Amino acid sequence: MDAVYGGVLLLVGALLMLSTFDPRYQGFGIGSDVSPMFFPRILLCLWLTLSTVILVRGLRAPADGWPRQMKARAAGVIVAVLACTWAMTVVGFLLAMIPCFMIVSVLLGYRRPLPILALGLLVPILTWFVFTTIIEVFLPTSPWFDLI
Amino acid sequence: MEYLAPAFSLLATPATLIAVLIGTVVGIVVGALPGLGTVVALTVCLPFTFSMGQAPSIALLLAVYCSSVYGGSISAILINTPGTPQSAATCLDGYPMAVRGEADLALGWATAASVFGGLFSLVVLVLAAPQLAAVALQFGPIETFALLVFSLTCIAWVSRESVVKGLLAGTIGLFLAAVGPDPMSGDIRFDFGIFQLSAGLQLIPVLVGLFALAEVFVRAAEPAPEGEAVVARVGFRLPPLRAWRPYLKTLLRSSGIGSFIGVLPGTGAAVAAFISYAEAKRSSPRGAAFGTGEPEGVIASEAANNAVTGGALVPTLALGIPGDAATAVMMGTLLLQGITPGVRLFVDNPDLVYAAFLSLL
Repeated sequence: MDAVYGGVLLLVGALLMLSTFDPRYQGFGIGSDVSPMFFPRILLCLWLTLSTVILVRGLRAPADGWPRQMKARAAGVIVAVLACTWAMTVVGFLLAMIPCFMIVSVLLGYRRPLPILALGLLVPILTWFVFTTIIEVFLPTSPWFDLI
Repeated sequence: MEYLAPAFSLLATPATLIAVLIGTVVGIVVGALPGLGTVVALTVCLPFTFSMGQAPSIALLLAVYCSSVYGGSISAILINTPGTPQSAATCLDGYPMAVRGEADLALGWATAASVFGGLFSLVVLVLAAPQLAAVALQFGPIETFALLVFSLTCIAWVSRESVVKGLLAGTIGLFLAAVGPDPMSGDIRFDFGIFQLSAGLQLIPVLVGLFALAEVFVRAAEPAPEGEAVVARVGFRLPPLRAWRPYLKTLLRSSGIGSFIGVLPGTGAAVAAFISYAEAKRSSPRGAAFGTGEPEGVIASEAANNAVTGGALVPTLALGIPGDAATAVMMGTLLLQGITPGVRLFVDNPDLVYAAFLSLL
């Protein structure tokens, strides 16, 4: 897993470093001793160095013995959460969270349909209710309904 | 001392007292549920503070913080699964006591030690925080920079298992702070054309995402824990006063260890609990009995982990550096309420600071 972490972080760091040379940032910091990109580039150099070290150590280390099923489950939950986050901006909090809750429950190993359905409806609705009506922190709404 | 009366008047409102009560109950319940923990308890209560005043919201979070640390000992003793990471060391002797039919006494010892540790660290907080704040007022840019470097080096100190990963995490954190407007020139960095990023990343969503979601991912990656049912006399029995005498030294030493470790930025109560347990095992005449249901093991762990609560507030309130992850979330709440922890807090909001001390009591 360290090899995966190191590789992904190395790739992300490299892309971010590349983005600091975007023509858009060339006009930044006129009149200053250093550009606003100076400090982020130092951080990104550190980022690239450290993620390379993790990647190399991960490749040289023996297999971690982590069951494939666990890796798949963790990856599935991460993908589900990311998809849910994106879906919230499109269809609103409630319509995104209800299926997401059920999907994550199944991914975590729960198999009884009735509790999954019941909690998948109850928890997001209760959360939406508490946030919207009690503490008045309004959650993303869907484009089709005013309330939810 | 002249701020005690206004602090007491801030605390003695129905809203604040109800907040303390609710925070205590919520903290104990969430702390007792394995897999949630102090940070999740604080994160869950945090949105409710948006519509509360300053004093009730601080009181709520402090109550949740202290009681969740204690609540972890309940599941640690009864089902050998710590409710919070801070209570992991309590399993070592608390569970054997429960198996032996002394679950009620183990819970009593855990409660008594937690109360003592919490009160001890409150004294440390009341005495040390103003002194530290007085020194902090002398801080100039050079001293502030040195403090920042010190707090960042703590990342390497606490991530001894993998210093490289700890340093990378710190680097990523510093980079995330660079997203948005540059504080000197105002130029917007790393927004990638996304309007919502043009103002930068807000502390609270990053904290919630980091701690709460990370916990979900870690749980998804771990196999379900296997445990065995315990037949034990579950109840609550406070130990008699005369039973305290052999353990007074351990109680004081563990509380001191917890308070000291809590003051250090970047550490946590789990570290304090294990160090205290190891030290008690090394120095106690009953050391050989540790791990078989010796009450001193429960005392050492619980006194230390609750003593961290007050100690962790010293750098948080006086210097604006969170003592652990939980105080990092609390600092976010203080910022939301318009209170800036740090060198000027004791000067600008002294009544609020003393109200926080009183609500810890």
